[in-house]
Parts: sequence; structure tokens; C-alpha cells
Amino acid sequence: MRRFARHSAALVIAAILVSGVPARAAETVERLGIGAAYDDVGRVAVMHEGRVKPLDTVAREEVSQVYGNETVTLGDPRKEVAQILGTDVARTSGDIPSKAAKWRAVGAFLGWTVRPEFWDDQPFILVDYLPLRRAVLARTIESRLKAIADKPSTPEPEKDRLRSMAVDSELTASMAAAFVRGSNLPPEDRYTIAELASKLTKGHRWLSPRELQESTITTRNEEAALPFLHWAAAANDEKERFDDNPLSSKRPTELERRGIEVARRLMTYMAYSGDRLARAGVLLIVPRPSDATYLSYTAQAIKDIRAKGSVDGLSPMQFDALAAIDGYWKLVPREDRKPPGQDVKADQKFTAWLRDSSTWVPLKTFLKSKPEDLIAAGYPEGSVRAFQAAYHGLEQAEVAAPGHVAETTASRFMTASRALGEAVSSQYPSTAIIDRETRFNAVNPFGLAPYAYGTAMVLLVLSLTCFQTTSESSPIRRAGRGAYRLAVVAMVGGIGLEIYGFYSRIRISGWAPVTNMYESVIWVALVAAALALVFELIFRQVTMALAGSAVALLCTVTAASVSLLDPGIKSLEPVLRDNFWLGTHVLAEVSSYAAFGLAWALGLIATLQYLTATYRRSPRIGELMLTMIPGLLLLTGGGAGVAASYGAFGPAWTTSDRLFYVFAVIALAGETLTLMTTLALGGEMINRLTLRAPSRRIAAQVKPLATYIYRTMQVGVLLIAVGTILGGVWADYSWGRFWGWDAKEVWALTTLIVYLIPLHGRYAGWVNSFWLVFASVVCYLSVIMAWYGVNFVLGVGLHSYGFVEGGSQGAMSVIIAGVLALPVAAAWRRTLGYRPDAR
Amino acid sequence: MRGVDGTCRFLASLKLAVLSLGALAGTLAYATFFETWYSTAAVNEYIYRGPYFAVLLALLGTNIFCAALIRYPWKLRQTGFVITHAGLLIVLAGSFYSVRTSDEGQVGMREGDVRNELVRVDHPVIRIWQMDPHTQQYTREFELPFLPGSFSWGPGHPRHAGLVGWLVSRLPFGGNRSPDVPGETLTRSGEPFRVVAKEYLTASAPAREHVGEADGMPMARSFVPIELPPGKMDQGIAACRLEMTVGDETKEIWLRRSATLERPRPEVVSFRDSDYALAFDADRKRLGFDLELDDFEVGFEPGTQQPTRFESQVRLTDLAAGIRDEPHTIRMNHPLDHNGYSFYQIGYQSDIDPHTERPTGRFLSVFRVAKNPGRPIIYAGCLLVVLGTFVQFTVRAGVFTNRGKNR
Repeated sequence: MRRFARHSAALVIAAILVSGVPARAAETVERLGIGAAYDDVGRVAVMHEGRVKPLDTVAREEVSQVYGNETVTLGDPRKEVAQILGTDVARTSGDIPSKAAKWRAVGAFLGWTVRPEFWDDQPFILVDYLPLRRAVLARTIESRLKAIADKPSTPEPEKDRLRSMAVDSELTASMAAAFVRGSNLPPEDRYTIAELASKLTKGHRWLSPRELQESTITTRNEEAALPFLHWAAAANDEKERFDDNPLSSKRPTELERRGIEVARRLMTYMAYSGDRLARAGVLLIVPRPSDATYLSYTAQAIKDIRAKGSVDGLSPMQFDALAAIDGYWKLVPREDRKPPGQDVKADQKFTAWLRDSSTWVPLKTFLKSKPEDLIAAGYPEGSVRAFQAAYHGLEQAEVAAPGHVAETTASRFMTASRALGEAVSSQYPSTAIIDRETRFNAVNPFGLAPYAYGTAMVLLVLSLTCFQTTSESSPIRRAGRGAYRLAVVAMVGGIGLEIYGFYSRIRISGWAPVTNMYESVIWVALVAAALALVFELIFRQVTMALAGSAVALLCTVTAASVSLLDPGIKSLEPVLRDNFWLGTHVLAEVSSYAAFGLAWALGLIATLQYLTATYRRSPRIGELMLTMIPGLLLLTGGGAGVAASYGAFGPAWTTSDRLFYVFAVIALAGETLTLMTTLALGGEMINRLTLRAPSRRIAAQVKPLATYIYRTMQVGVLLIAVGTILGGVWADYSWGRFWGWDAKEVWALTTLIVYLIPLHGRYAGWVNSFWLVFASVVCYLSVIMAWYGVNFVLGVGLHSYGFVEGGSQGAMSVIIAGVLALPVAAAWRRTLGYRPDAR
Repeated sequence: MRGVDGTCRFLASLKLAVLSLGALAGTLAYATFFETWYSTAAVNEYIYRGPYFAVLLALLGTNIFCAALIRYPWKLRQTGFVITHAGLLIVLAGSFYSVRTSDEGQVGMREGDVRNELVRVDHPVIRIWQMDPHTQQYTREFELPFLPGSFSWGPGHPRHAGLVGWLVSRLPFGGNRSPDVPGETLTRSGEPFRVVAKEYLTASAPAREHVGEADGMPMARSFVPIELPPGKMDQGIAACRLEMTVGDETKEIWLRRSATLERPRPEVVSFRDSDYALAFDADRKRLGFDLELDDFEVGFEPGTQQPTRFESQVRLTDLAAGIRDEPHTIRMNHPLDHNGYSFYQIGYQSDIDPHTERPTGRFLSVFRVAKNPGRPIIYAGCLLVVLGTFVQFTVRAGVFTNRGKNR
């Protein structure tokens, strides 16, 4: 019977996993911007954020920033309207079939530049905060609803409702949908209202550039209604002042913070779209010449502007040359600021700067310049004309058949762009370098790794349940063994993918891995998986591999889904620019997080065993429930206090930071208590239903796990000790201070000390297996603090931003308190299980 | 005798080890938060360099020492344990030695400048020059050490005595809030004047209203505090209000530190008998050799404000060692070592004219200069700690044996 319960549990898990695969949408989907032509466009080298990279990378980064995903899906608006109206699409709009388009990043990006008239009206600017979307659409809603109300065809009783809805700042999609379904309006008016309602639904997360640009938003103090971008710019100024000094300005509201993000997305799109010359985010596609011709061209431009006294009448290329030398002059001492041609030494320095450090020329500048002007600036005539012709060819092809450019047209552009780049710069990236990065983007190894680790984890859980069967030769047991072997293969696959990923990243960036938070997370996944695999091959106890794959899965999924972790390859602080120290100190330090992470996951597995184990006696439900009452009281009280600190109940004195922290701690304690009671009850239930076998002693079950935890902690302690010391040596080597009590190094030391406590306690025999398991989970808090907290809690504080912004501090606290509930629940049930029954 | 034995056992016990490790971890965690609430200078003054922390480290050191000693004669399996704990003791001893012997400061140079002194920025001094009444030349120089701490103090805000005093002052009704503070006398007896610091601001801004003096002397400058965000309290420009008495004449003067590493412009105070020039400066220590900056360059990622490198071309002249104009390049991660001092490129500052307080459009290349004779001891200790930990975990516990499997 119990075996049946176990196997059915495994089946349920499998069923849940399978059902997670989304069903295919019924509508037809056209895939655009795919194929060899767009791959070729993606291979054009551009300079972006200080690094030369393929256009493919830029397109992916910018499209994800604007849309929230690398592939833009433009759904059929009629489908959403039909859903609101409760009819089907065909009935809503005649017999035109519903059609959606999926644009891959490069195609969408090219479209932004050459077909703004199309993209301006497509909803692809991510506005996922509903109140902001409502604020943006407020004026449109008001004018359209009032217009319908004013129509003579509108039935009298519905006019008042329409007018009240028009000015309702809390209008929801369901309110509008309920109205439209029960109304007797003509079909076109019902369609208009349903269309507006569809934009307020949870699923409709995007607005079009035009909708945003044409909207006005009322400022916080209701002084004025400003155009969206002006409002966001004002909010951004305020936010910068607040970030710089919280005492100098008011804390930005949630609406303002989200508005600033949306404005950034809109500005990114606007910088690329159309043929306006914009300063930010432009596509820098042609290297700047650094020869004598360019120097004399710059000197002439300086003479021209000095003669005229204004920039009027300068050619785009002249303007660009002046901007470049102006940027250079800002970096050098005043006495070195000489126009080219006056001083040989100054010219040499300027030439070196042009070659190594100047930005490339923007595409729009290049296209708007006359060929003669570009030739005067030092570009070879043939290449200039070929480039301009090839680009115009591409532009026309995209306009004529959007998303279906012919391969020859695209490859001509790629070739022309390379020929031009190689003609003026010796540092133009080779085809191999560009291809390496586009291949890395296409394979997306870090995006695939979670699938490998996830498969391994599921198979390991299955094999673990199958191994519970007593008979050696039973087919279930054999299936379990097969699943185990497959799981190990999947883990090796995950590790292989990550190794390929890291190899590519290192080759692309030129720096040893782990230079930012994102890389540290995926590195921990790799080390945890590899370390677990090594231990697994030695000990052959499924739990080790299970813990490793769980940590690796958690980390890779986090890296892929948390927007805070930026996968972009960025430039490095000067002091970090040392591969030896990056490769030793940082890797040792971050690898220790992986070892401790493995101990943490093993601890959680052991905790689950303790939670469901059979003790001397079975605690009564009433006993276990004792902690529920204080837990709920704390949770409610703390929650109300936190809400008050965000101004939910009015008075200004309730919004103080101190009140927030006190109540946040109370609420988190309440959460832990409540959850722990629930978990302890759950553990008791599982025990009563399936596992109550008196012969199975918990100590025997957990002892090997405790041993592995001890071992992994030892590995972690060794790594963190080495890492911290190497950090000191690096600091001493680069700025003459072995130890400066910097928060990051202090937390590394604290983590080391925190783990030394259970290790010493275990040595002295005070810490038994249970408390070692408990410590492995609890001590991980200090790793979280060293890894995440130093950047996102210290200095930032928990109260500065909302629940999921800045560093998602709120969400993180809730998750941590929730995870801590597990060992506490196990301790609670265990304590009661060993305590003599009071009754 | 039994008492001594008991004390030794306690000092060597694992109980004390766990207790002191726990206290250390707790203190460190609190310290990092303290830093974000106030400033790096504050956490250094109150915690890391405070007496409580020293006692804690001493306790830990004693514990490690006794724990290792009480197990003598050591067995072979204790090799790792002994090496690790000996290493820890050496690290602690090396750190203690370093604190006593090391020195650090900064040197800031424009291209073409020659420098032969380091600015010990953490050791502020009040510098006073007696002036000749006729020629206005400086005739005598006095250097008064002035350690004002990392919090502002003055009327209504008394100076706290360490962490405990500070914690007490945080309590409601705790601490002295009287408007009258005695101030800190900076001069010793035997000096021709008396200087008392009456007020200190960690971050100051010039006051809008300049108060003119009754006798028609030029208007004196004064400063008001500015409130900086939490954790950045030490990032302003400090100022202090001094009371100077010569004979029976007493005058008040505000002095402000320089925003760069250059010497601040002295303020002149006139007394009946002579004039004095005063400056709120840092201790400047002779290096014993000259360094000249030929060229300084900053590299940026193209089109961004993200610096990629700082590089200074310098020439070293040390006549005592027979070195003249020896060229060196100092850049990030590539220091210059000479005569026990190391020069590390840490960045650059915009040069500010001391008279107009505006940027001059030139850059100061900034080096941190440090001398740390304790370094080899600390390194040796660290090496032993790592080696010992490795031996302890592998040889005894056998991480890579199959004992787990056998179980």
C-alpha cells in the first residue's frame, strides 16, 4: 500500500511536469525575420556600450530591453477584443482569419530602423504595470467613451454609465467588459469599448510607441498634465536626486519608477527608429579613420566652426568629427587641447585615441553624409559608395517584403560593411570573432542548461522513489537504475553546456569568468553540479547528485529569469582587469558559495527526512498547531505595519523607515512560524499516511547525508579561506592594503567564521546530525548576505524600493523566511516527537 | 593551582572558541550595517579600531594559542590542526605588528610636479605659522595634531566616547545635549598661544552670510554643516571652528580642509603683536626621495564614461641611493616599489584652484603610498592557514576516500 502511495506520488510529479508544457495556440503564426538573410545582417559588427559586437547581440539586448523578450510576438488585436465580447474572431471581423506574427530580434530591430511607420503603431513597448498603462490610456479612454456617450444612437440609460466610466481612474478591464457584454450599443461602439478594455487586461502587457508618445500624465502633486516623456524625465531627475541623497528629495512613487523604465524603453526604440539623428543608443556601425586625412578633416571642421561661430551648415560628418574631438578634449589636460596639425606629440596622442578609444560613426550620420564628404574624411571612395548602396538595397528590400529579405541583399550589406570597416581600422573584428559570438547567442548554452539540470533532477527523484523497492531484481528497481544513469548523463550534459558557455564568454570578453552577479550565479551552478558529480561518482548515493542538480537548476533558472541579472557582456572596472586574480580569488570565492549551496541543498533533503520521520511518539495535531496562533498574529500585525509604512493608512508618521523595519521583521517571523506549523503538520500527515515503519530509524537514514554535508562544508570552508586570503593579497598588490574592512571582504570573513562554528561544534561532539543539517541551511544566510546582500541590502536598504525592483529585496526576504521555515518545522516536530506526551 | 588549571582549560576550550567566533561574526555583521548607516570612517573609529574589537581578537588569539598548547605533545593526526592554528596566530601577530609599523597616505601630482612627501590623510593637523608683522613672511611653523573623530560635534552635539558612549547617546534622554561644550585644547603648555577646537563638521558648506568684524578687518569665512546621506557621512569636506588665544586676546576662526591633496589656503588672524596663518591640513611626511610626474593618461571604453586604465609615467630621483631620473610606469595593479614604500595608482582627481575653488581643467594623478613591514609575516601565516586547513580536511577526514560509500 505504501509502495503504491510512493509510486503514485512519482506519477503525480511527472504529470505535473508534463502538463507544464504549454498547449499550442490555435491561431496561425507567421515567423518573420528568420533565415540566412537575417543571420547575415546579425553578423555586421557594431560598437555598442563600449564594446564591438555583432548586430545580432545588440538586437537581442535592445529588443529584450524594450519588449521583455528576444522574440516580439504581435498578436491579432481582434482576438483579444473577441474574448472581451465573448464571441469568436471570425464573427467580430468578418471572415478574415486570425493571424499573429513572431519577429526575431534582428528582423524587429531592422524594422524599427527602416519601417517606423509600421512599428510606431504596434504594441511592443513593455508596460507591465497596470496602473501605469491605465494612466497612459486615461485620456484616450475618456475621449472615446465620452464620444460614444454623446452619440444620439447611444441608449439614454447607458450614457451616464459611459460618462462615469470615462473619468474613473480605477477602471478595470472586467468592469468595461461586463458593461459592453450587457449593453445595447451598436457593434462598432461595442468594438471600440472592448478594444480599450482589452488594453487593461493582465495579459496585454504592451503599448505602442504612438500611444505612449501621445499620452499625458498628471504629475504627483496634480499641478500639471505633462506629455509622457516630459513627465518621465522630471520623475527621473527627482529619482536621481533621491538616489544621490535621500534627504534632498521625495521618494519616487511606484508609478514614477515604472514610468521611468517605460520611458527608457520608448527612448531606446526612438533612438533607432526612422532617420532622425538621435544622440543616445544610435547604431555605431563604421569605425572612425585615424589617419592624416581624418586629422586634417577635423582641423578643417574646427576652422569652419570657428569662422562661422555656429554649427549651422556643418555636414553631419563634420559635426560628428567635432563631437569626437570635443569628447577627447574633455579627457586630456588643458594644455594638450590643440587642434590637429599644430603639435606633433598632441597629434600622435589624438591618433592613438582615435584608433583605440574613440567611438565608431553612427549609421545615420554615415547615410546622411554625401560620399564626397566621407571621402574627404578618409574613407575610401569605392567602399563608401558600396556601403551606401548596399544599405539602401537592404532598406528597400525590407520595406518591400517585411521580414523576408533575400539572402543576397543581406550578404551584400554584410560584405560592404566589413570592407569599409577593414579599410579604415586595423582593429576591425575578424569573421571568426563575430561568428563565435553569434553562435554563442544562437546556441544559448546558459538558457539550455536548466533543461539538462531539470531533467537530471526529475530522473533522480524518480530513481530515488524506485530505489525504495526492496527487491533487487524487480523491473521498477531496474527502471530506477536506468533513470539514475540517464540523470548522470543529463547532468554531464548540463555541465558540458555551461563549460561551452563559459569558454565562449571568456573568448568574447577576454576576461576570466565571474566579473558580475550574473556570471557568479551561473558559475555557482556549474561548480555545484561538477562538485556533486565528483562526490556522486565517489559515494554513489543519489542524494548528492540530486542536491547538485537542484542547486544548478535553481541558479540557472534564476539567471535566465531574474531581470536584475544582466547577461550582457559589459566592460570591467580598471581594478578588476587582471585575469590572474579574477581567475584565482574570484573563482575560489564564488566556488565556495557553490560548495555551501550544495551543503544547503543536502541539508534541505535531510530536513525533509526529519520532517517526515518516525520519532519516539507521533506528535498530536493540537500540539503541532500551537505555534499557528502566534504565527498568524505576528504575520497579520507585521503585514499591517509594513502596509502602514508604505502609507496605506494615511498619517505621515506611520511611513517612517524604523517602523518599516520593525514590522517587516515581525511579519517575516510570523511568516516563518505560520509556514513552519503548516509544514510540520504536512510532515506529520505524510508520516501517518505512508512512512510509519517502526523499523526505519531516522538516525540511520540521515547519517550518510550528515557526513556529506560535513564534507561539502569543509570544501566550502577551504575554498572561502583561500578566496578571502587571495582577495587580501590582490588588494595588497593593487592598492597596498591587505585588509581594508570593506563590506564585501568582511562578509566573506563572516561566512567563513559562521561555517567554522558548526564544524568546531561537530568536532567537539555538541552538534549532532540534526543540528548539523539545521546549520547547513541556516548558515547559508551568511552566504546570501555576502553574495547578494552586500550589493542589494547594505547601502540600499530594504525600504528604498518596491518589492521586486532594485534588488527584489522584499521578495528575497519572503523567500528566505519561507525556506527557513523548513528546518524550523523539522526541529519543532522532532522536539515534540522526543518529548514525553504531556497528556 | 586548580584555579590556574581551570582557567587554562577554559581558555583552551572549544566552548570559548565557539563563543568568540560567534561574537566575532555578530560584531562583523553589525559593523557592516553600522557602516551603511554612518560612514566608513565611523565604523573604523568605533568598531574595527576600537578597544572592544581588540579585546575580542586577543581573546580569540589566546584561545587558539591555549588550544594548541594544551594538546602538546601533538599526535601525527593533529598535524593539520597545529599548522592551521599556528598560521592563525602568526596572522594575528603579523596584523598587530602591521598596525604598529605600517604607514599609508596619498600623493597627488599634476603633470610636471615633483613630490617628496606623502599626505597622511587620516591624520589631520592644524598648521599654524607665525608671521612677521612687517614682511608678512612665515617665521615659525607649529603642527598641532587634531583627531576630531568621524562624527560632527560642537554646541548641542557632544563628542561621543567610543561605541558605548555613542550607543548611550542614541537612547532617549541619553547623553549630554547642553549647548556648551568645553572643546578640545590642541596646544601644549609652553607654546606662545592657546588653540581650542570648539566645533567640528564632517561635511561643511560655506555659510551664505559672512560676518564682518567690528574693527573693520576683512570678513571671516564661516561654514555650516551639510547633511549627507547615510553611509556617506565621511564624503564631505570637513571644517572646524577654533578659538585662538594670544596673551589676553581671543579670536574665533573657521578652517576647512582642502578638497584635494593640495595644501589648503591658510586663513590669517591678526592679533595685537603679530599675525598668524592657520590651515586645517593633514600630516605630511617626507619620503626621502623625489618623484616627478611626466605624463598621466586615463583610458575609457569607447564612447562611455567607464575608465579602463589609469597610467602614470614618473621619474624617480633618490640621490642617497645614487638614482637620478629613473623612469617608471605606475598603473592599476602595477605599483612602484622604492625604499619600503609602494606607490599604487588608485585614480585621479580633478585639480581645483585653492583660491577660486573651481576646477582648473587639469588632473591630479593620485597614488596611494603604503609601507607595511608586517606583510611577509601575514603572508606566511595565511599560507600556513590554507596548508593546515587542507591537511586537516584531507588527511584526517579523508574527503576523497570512499569511507562514505563504505558506510
